[in-house]
Amino acid sequence: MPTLRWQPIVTLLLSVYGLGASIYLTITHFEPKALACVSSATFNCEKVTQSPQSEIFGIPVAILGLAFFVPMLLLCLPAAWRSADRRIHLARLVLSITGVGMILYLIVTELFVIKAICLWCTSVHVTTFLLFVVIATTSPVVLDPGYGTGDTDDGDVADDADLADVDGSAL
Amino acid sequence: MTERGASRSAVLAWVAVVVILVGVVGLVVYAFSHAATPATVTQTARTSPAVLAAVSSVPQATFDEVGVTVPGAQLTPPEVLSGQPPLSSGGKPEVLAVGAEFCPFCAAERWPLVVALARFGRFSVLHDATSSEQSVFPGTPSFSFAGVRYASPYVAFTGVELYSDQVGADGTFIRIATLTPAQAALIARVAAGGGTSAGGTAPFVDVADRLVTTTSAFSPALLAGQSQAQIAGTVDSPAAPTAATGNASATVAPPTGQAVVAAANQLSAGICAADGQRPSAVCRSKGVRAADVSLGLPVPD
Repeated sequence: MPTLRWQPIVTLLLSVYGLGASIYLTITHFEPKALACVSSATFNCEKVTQSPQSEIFGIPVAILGLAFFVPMLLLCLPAAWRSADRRIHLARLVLSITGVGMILYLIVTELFVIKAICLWCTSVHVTTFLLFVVIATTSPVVLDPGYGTGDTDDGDVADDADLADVDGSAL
Repeated sequence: MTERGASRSAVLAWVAVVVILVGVVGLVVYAFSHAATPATVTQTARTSPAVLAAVSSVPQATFDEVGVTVPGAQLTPPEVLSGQPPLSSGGKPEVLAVGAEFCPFCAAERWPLVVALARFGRFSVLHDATSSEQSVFPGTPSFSFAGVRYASPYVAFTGVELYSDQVGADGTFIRIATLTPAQAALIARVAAGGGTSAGGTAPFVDVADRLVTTTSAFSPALLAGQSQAQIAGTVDSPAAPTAATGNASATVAPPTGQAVVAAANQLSAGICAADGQRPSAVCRSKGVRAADVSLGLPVPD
């Protein structure tokens, strides 16, 4: 059984990147001149970030990105991954599903309404999708009632050993 | 959760991942294989802060001094509408401007419209545009209302640029927007019998159904030979037309600034008539009152 422990660190790094990109996109939403991005017929960050669709109910999408990545970052801290509290793992899963639902909406909007693609936004979309992949495929293990309590199926002790199970038994 | 249950959940998770991935790839492939011509248009540059500031901060004294008088140039005033249902958006009177980036008369009309609207609110996003080099008055510097962002407590603004100033593969200007059914109906109604003799839609400026114009207030020739920044400078501090010095055959400088300011006073008068004469500093100013009188609009007390 492989004992990979990459999920916490990978999700943490993805969250850090996503949070940084969201901060940058929030700044450039209000200061468009600060936006550094290739500009062509297909790729045009400014057209996307300054479009009417860049706000939902008056809230800039970039700020919604911040509202996603801040809690995601906290939920992807190693301590959160080690937690025996299922609510933390459930919250992480629900948040990632919400995130991937949001990016599906944003991708459709970019492709068919704005008709331009923002590369910075795309990088955030990819980050959110990768987070979803890791979290969704890991959730069957971390949502196990015995996870983190030392009562997992392998009878192993809690904490770090359980993280090893994430890559082994269930996947 | 048993090991078998966990495995089943893991399989479901991977199925969800694959379905989403395939769906996104499918959307991207479909979008690119059915790309319409608007996707090939490159958005023009943002208007420089200096130009935007110049057209947004014309001194009140300038509006009052110019009024609606333009020595050496003929103004075409907007037509006053009456008995029309008010045009509004979000509970505020709406100014609707329909034009095309290639169109020189639209280019000319955008100048006073931007100056007038800047008295009632603020443009946060405005792009540059020049009329087509293949048309009359080629390369007339102006703005584009494609992607415009404007906010005002008094009035709503909708800008529609139907065509780009770029030519597509078929040799025609690339269509970048379409009218909503309501906008098309409005233009048809106004053109058919609402008080204007022109049926064209570029430019079409409707100030809350109080004023409407289907041409530019002044000839684009007044803007010829000047850069956007130079025109903005004349608007910011217009002077009476003067002959250039040091040359016996000097020509008289065009009254560009006065024409823009005078036309802006007229459009401002229409907005004031629609929004309850607010703000008072604008609507009760000498320049707007002069426009009220010249257009036959009610003059506030």
